[in-house]
Amino acid sequence: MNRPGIYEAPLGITMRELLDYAGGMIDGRPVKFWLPGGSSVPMLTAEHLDLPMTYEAMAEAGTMLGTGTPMIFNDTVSVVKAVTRWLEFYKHESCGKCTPCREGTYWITGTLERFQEGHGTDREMETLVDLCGQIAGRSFCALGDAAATPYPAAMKYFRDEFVAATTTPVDDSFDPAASYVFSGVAAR
Amino acid sequence: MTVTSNSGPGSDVEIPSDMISVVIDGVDMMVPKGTLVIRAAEQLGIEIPRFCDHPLLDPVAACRACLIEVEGMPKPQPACAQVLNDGMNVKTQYASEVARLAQEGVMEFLLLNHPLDCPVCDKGGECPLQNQAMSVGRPESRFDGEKREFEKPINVSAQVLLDRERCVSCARCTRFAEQIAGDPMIELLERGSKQQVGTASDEPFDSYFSGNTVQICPVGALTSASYRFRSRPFDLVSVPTTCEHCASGCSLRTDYRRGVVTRRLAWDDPEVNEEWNCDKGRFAFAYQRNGRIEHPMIRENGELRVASWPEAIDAAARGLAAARGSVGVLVGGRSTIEDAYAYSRFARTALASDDIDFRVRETSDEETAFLASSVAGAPVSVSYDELESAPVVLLVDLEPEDESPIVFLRLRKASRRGTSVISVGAVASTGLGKMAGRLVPARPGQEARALRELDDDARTLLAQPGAVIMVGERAAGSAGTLTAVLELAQSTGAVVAWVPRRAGERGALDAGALAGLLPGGRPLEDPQAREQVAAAWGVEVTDLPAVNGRSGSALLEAVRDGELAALLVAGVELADYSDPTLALAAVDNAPFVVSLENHHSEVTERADVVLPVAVVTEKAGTFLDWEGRPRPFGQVFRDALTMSDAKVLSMVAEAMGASLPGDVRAIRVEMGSLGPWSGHRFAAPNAQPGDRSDGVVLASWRLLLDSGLMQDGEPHLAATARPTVAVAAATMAAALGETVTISGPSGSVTLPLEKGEVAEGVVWVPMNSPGCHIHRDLGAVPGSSVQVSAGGVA
Repeated sequence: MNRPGIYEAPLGITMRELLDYAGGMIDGRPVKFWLPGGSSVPMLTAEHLDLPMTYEAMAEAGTMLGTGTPMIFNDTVSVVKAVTRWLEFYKHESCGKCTPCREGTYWITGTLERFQEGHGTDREMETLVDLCGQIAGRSFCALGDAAATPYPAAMKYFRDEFVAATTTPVDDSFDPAASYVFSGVAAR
Repeated sequence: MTVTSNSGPGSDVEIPSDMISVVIDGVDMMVPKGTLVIRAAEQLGIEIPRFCDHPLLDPVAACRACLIEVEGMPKPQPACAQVLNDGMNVKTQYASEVARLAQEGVMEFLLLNHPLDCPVCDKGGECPLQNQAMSVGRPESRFDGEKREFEKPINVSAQVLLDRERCVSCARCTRFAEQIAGDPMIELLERGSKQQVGTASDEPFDSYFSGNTVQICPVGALTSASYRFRSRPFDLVSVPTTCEHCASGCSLRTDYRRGVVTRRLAWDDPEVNEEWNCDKGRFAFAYQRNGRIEHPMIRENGELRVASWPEAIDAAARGLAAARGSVGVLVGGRSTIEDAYAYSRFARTALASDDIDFRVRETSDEETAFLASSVAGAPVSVSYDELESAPVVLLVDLEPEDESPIVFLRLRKASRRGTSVISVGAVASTGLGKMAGRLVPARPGQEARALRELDDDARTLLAQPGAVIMVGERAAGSAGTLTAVLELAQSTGAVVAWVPRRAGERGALDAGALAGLLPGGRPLEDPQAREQVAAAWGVEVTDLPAVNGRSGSALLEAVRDGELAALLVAGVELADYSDPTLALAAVDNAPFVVSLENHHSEVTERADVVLPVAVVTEKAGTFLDWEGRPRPFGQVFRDALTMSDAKVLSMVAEAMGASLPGDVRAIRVEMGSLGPWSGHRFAAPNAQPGDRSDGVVLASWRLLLDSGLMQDGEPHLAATARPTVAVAAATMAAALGETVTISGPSGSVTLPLEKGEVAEGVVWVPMNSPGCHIHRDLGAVPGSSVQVSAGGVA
């Protein structure tokens, strides 16, 4: 968006209104997917921009308000790449104490990194959903739960991109240069 | 008080207030409040998978293998950490699909980075990971990625090796080190999938208890250098045994293959060693095979030569018969109670002698009186469990970590629950620190004064019910100490426990292997005691020696001075006597010496007849631990050709025309028929403290791992021993520098000097470690005045 920053708004505001506060998307590009509150809440898409951001409405849409730090992505961004970045973060943050988080983030991240290179398989695509289910609710702390969140939601809305990643490297499908921002973002 | 619960099985049942009613897999049960799900399920025979869970360690809920479903809780809960509440309804993997899937998922994750090298892994065949992968795991892996790799193995100590790729990060080893042993030198390092067990680069895991981590590791990550790659578990034959190293009395499991012991494990005995033992008990058993005397020998023309058993028995019998009434008997401190009993009876009947002692260390008449009056034949007065509940335990001349390691572990556990530990001695050791104990400083030799001047705080604690005073064998060398201990117990009501170091001492005492004492603490000169014993032994009362014989140094001096015609020696290392020169002179001057031994020694070199005897694996027997609790053990090698001391003695007795049971069961029956002694006992000691000596005095005890002969042949174990250093208070250490030369009457040693919490004017050295054997090198004992000077060549 054009003016990223900290905005105070009443409960129930929509993401479309919040985006207006922040000056809209850079270059007016369309919203592809967004997260109401950090990478540990399931993602939504452009069709959810007019939902009131309340606990109830978010729950009904299958997500949560989370940390209240929304993340918004335009159509140049690969969902596969975004999810892989998040999982790399969770793998790095895992303390290693409990098995599901320590081993689960290792397995999922490694698999997603192969998808990124275009080497995913259909079988792994389904296995990853299973693995996220084997972490969620079973780890010692909520970091495991958070790590198990991005992939199933991404599969719900953007399955095609993961299918494409079984044959085509993500950088071939989505030119990384198109996502770069060198100027044009207003001073905070 | 009881309450009536409506939630329990049958609402009219009265439920005690400390019990709650729960349901596990549809089965109603009552458990004490605070019970963990996993423990309650075990009682129902429901085995929930687990790796990090260990009943003696605090729950950590890390591995997540034990996830179960609890009604009303949204997520599966770890059974190892979930405390049962009244009315809780729990479903394990047998009743809940949620639990089953959760456990299966965790097992898949655990195997993810595991090398699955079971065919070459020491743990294969007895591995919780292998077993539970079979019971709850998926048949095939879905993982196509690359497994984590580590350099293998790394030494966390000279004895303990770590293959990190096998580790499942359960933290049993690190929690054991921190919570049980108090040696937190291993820790989980790094994080996430890079997490691994490790040590600081300059501080190996040199814990006296490190072997326990190998045993409780639920995978093959930790192995011992001495057992690694030696055998497969399914090729081993296991026999329950008792440790022969010290008076802690550990229950062990001895595993052997094709006539060779391959390893020893701590066995589960909740009342004694719980599930732990020390590294000496676990690893030091090579002596049992190495360097054994294989054949009887007799001296001919000044030289020992191999002889047949009949010839050697005959030679021993003739020589001893000729000396009858004038034979000294040295039993050593490592006999089983049955063997010690055989010596006791053999001495009083076949040899007509009461000159007998089992103590191969510093002794005193005061100690003899203390043992005879207050210890011999007494029932268990303090148990391990009572240490745990004691308000205070006062240690006198006792260093539990080195001298009775399982006592140390129990005291450490007790101290973590509020027991105060106070040590009267010269040094605040690291062991005392691990027990959160405080030192009442006393110069060696001046413990009696320290006890009489004990501060009010300590006295108040000692006056509380359950207070314990534990006094070690070194108190014998400090005049007045044992007298003061009994006085203190009398005035405060505290209970006294005597903790010898060697495994056989308490049993030998009860067997009467001490001058003046018949079995069961019976005074030799008491008419009723004589009648009982004579009847049990099938002899006339008048056949028993009439007056108390000699013991301790008086006995050795008598032999040296030619007052005795023969010496019967069993399992004695002369260097262990506080005056080895006297002991050597005694053996040299004895006209006839019979040695029952399993290894060549200074005694066998000088003996006229050498009769080889069995080691602990080749015979059955019983040790009495420091509590006085019998610790029976069976014969590991049933086809062993060696004979126990009792069996050999019975053959000698027969050749002398006397009778003696040689069979362990017959001896137990005979000892049992004597029963406990309720008659007159010896008078308690009444000795005065010695004068305070000027100058520097020596403090010393035997380190757990030292030059002891029963640790021979174990280089990996020896490499974990503490370095031989001298320790002194900061002022003395500063004045002397980094190296000190300590001189006694017979020589000097030069050692690195460290500063520590040591009484002023005292220098501590190990008693019998490489480079410092105080009896022989210095001619000194604890409490001796020594000269100290800076420098020298260490």
